[in-house]
Amino acid sequence: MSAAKTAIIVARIVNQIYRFMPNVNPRQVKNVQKQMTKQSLAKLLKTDEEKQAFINTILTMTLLTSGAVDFVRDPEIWSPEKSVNKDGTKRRWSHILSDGADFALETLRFPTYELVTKEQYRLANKLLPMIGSTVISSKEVMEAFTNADVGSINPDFKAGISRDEERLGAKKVLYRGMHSMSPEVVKFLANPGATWDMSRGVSTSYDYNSAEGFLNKGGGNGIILHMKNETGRGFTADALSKYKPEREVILSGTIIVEDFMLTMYAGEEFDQDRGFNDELIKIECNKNFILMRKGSDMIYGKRNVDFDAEIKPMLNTLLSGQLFEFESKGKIYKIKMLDKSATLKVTATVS
Amino acid sequence: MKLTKTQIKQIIKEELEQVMNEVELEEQEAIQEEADASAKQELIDAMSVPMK
Repeated sequence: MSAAKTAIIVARIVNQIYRFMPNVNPRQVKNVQKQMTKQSLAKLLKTDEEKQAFINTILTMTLLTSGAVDFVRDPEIWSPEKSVNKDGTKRRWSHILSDGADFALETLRFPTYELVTKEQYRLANKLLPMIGSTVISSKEVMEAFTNADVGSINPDFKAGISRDEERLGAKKVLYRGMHSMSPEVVKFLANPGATWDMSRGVSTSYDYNSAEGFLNKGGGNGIILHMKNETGRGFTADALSKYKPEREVILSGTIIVEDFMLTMYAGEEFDQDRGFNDELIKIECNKNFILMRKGSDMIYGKRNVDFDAEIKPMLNTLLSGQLFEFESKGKIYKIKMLDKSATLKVTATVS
Repeated sequence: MKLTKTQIKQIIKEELEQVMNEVELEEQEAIQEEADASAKQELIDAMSVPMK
């Protein structure tokens, strides 16, 4: 097995250790977690290459989740003046590491008090695609877990993992919330079969509420991606990340849109003065139905609609801010999308 | 076969229209490709930001 794969397996075990709350005096919780981490690292990282691979994996995960994303994307824009915390102090590893990551790195004698460097951002940029696309089964991690023998430190932890081995596996459904997105992105995603490459590694979550919460943090067009990850890709940052509640998973791969559900609002144009009616029209559609309501009245509804012939042109027109004309029940409607009113839920697969 | 002036004019007109349509289609495709590339970039940039 490669050192890189061993590193990710060990990271999954350490992640579970820091998700586990041992049934001990609260002041002893950290000690138990530290003992189990120390033992896992000692038993599973046997060579210097494996130790270095683990360190690099944790550093990469940390730079994406709590470092400066811009520097991860383009390390060449890094400068010592820009590598600072919100309070203006120089950014050190200890400022951005989670408790678990900090302890694991210290155990491997990584100097966490040192400043974050450009070279480390370069390394993260290089490693991220690999870390996010690794496929490791729960069985492989379970084997390592058994070898680490952390059950000798805390039998409850061992019993918990043995009862539910899947905790060591990859997350099969991932979510991502986005806000303030342009109509072009909504148009691109509201299109079954649309594909894009995320192989450089992006941030997702296995917790729907985190994704939805992030969607609601900003205004504008909102998007939630629901990604089926059957192959089990991704690096579960989760409790190893400083932002533990986000249940973060670093993912890289190709995304293919399967279906979508779009809701948006439009104003109806008056013929006389080209003004708009105050009462908005709510438009809902997916790849084969369209429903439009004005208040509680359904003004247009159609099932089994041809996507390319009817839905796509309608969305292209509305999302481009143009007037869309249609006839329903003998009346001609001319409607225009209300700016930034789209909410799009996309179902996709990762490969 | 001899062609009349009117026929030649008609053929030129049709050919020109066809070329113009092809150019328009290519332009539309290029615009669409550019819009898709820009949408993909915006998507990747947005997804790179942690949800904190």
